[in-house]
Amino acid sequence: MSPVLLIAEHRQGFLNPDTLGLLNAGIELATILETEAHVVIIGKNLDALAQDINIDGIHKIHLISAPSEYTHDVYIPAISSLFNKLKPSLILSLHTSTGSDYSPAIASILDIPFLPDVIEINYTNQIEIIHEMYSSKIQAKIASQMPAVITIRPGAWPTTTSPGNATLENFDVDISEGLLNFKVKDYEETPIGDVDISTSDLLLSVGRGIEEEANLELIFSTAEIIGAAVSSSRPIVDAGWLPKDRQVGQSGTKISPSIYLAVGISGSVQHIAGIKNSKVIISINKDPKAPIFDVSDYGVVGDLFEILPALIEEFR
Amino acid sequence: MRILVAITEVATPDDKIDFSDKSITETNFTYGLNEWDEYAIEEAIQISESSPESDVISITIAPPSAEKTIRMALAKGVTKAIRVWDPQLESLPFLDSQLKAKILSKVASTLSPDVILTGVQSSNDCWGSTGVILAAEIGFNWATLVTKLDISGKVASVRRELENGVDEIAEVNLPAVFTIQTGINEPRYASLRGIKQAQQKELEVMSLGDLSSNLDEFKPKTNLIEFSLPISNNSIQYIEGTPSEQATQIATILKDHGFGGS
Repeated sequence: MSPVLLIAEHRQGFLNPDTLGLLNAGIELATILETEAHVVIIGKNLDALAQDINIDGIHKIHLISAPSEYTHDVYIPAISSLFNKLKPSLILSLHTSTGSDYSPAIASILDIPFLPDVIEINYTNQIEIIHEMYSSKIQAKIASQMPAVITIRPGAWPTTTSPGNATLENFDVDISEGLLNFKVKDYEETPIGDVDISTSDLLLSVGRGIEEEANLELIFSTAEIIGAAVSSSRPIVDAGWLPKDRQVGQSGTKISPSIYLAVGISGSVQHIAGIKNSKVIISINKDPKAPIFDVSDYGVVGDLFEILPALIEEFR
Repeated sequence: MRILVAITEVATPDDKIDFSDKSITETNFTYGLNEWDEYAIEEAIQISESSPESDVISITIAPPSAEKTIRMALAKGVTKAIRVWDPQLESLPFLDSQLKAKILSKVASTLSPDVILTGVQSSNDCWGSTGVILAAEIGFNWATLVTKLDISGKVASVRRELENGVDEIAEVNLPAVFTIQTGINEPRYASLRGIKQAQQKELEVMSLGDLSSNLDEFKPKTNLIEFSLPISNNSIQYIEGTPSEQATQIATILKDHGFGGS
């Protein structure tokens, strides 16, 4: 069978560490399909990045030199021409802000199936994947012919690797920067306010379950007495109740506390992606089926408006 | 300026989901506009309000039961709505993003839009890819995960939300598709007057046959094997008891980790 093609993700000179999970998914699949795992990396100054992805199990690394940072206007023609040369049986990329920006279009242009946000891949005469629906409450097992484009969920595969010795090969694609319809101007980081949740060891994190802005007072008084910094899930920031630098999740501030105490947070996929570096997760939620319980060490099914006042009493 | 907004009705399960291997029974579901699409609608209306002679047309792929939800978009200020449905779609367990985008692109190509907006994803399907495929199918440029959108002439300046608190600032040439992230604006509520007016606004119904003479174009490229429940986390330890007993145990865990003072 023809190789599995994996697309490495990087920005501003750094490899996205979840790329290693992607490579492991690809190596696993290549073994099942009895074929080779190839990686393609696109951009400038690729030498150091090529070292990072040269891991055991990867057969070949294709280097495509391009003048700019990531834009889909570069990635799509580059990957499409490599596809036409290599005829891979599958293309795998990450379901991230970058991967989900170009991968669906590649499937569309090549007129092949597209399978987004995949957490498991199997093969029995056809590709079978698992995709979560209805806020992670249902899993769909979906079959597809090959070739296909698959984006995998960051964190769904292990990222441990050992050094390899893949062949490096340059692949030339003529990309004219003048023709770009999408131009990156700048990157901006969310400014950190008076509290830096990225360095906090105890986070009290609040979600939609708080119901009203005025109820945040209960969160802040609890946080003060237990010595926690206050963070939140996305809806609280969307509503303007807390500043953006307090947001935890895939797009929010990176955190790694000893204890993450989540109250009234049901746990979207993006939120769960952001809390995986917490050592201990304690969740309080009214809904026993809330997906947050699936990643929690301790679960409290109950009403935060009863439990938090009682918790304050414990420390008085 | 003509703005299209592709919107979805979503079903939110109240408690448990009834399903078989091949279908989800949407009993005990609450229906409404997809949360991301609420923001896309607001953004579309704001763009139309700031540029003269604009209209906003919504497109929804859904059975007749979704019309109440579609009327809510009309009540908020959408000029006209289009609903696409067909017996051929009825038998599918879900519409994958490629099929959705194919249908949307057929409708959109007859309307010559300058801008197409849609939510980043829907809470039911969670594909997060329909907007990009729509753009590729129709030959438009695109920007995903948009948290700020300023259109000036034939160029849009966008802010895109990446990972770990980093945003990208970019420029995109029109015509283009923008997938709208929550928080970009403050979605308005429909006024009573708006709700009244919505009843008089046009809601056009189209079938797949109206979009193409070749219905094979609308066959999905993937197929469902089965639905199942996620495997639950066995290592979780539930803290039981009254609220105050639960609080005592949480306090113990915190103190064991050196938090909460004494």
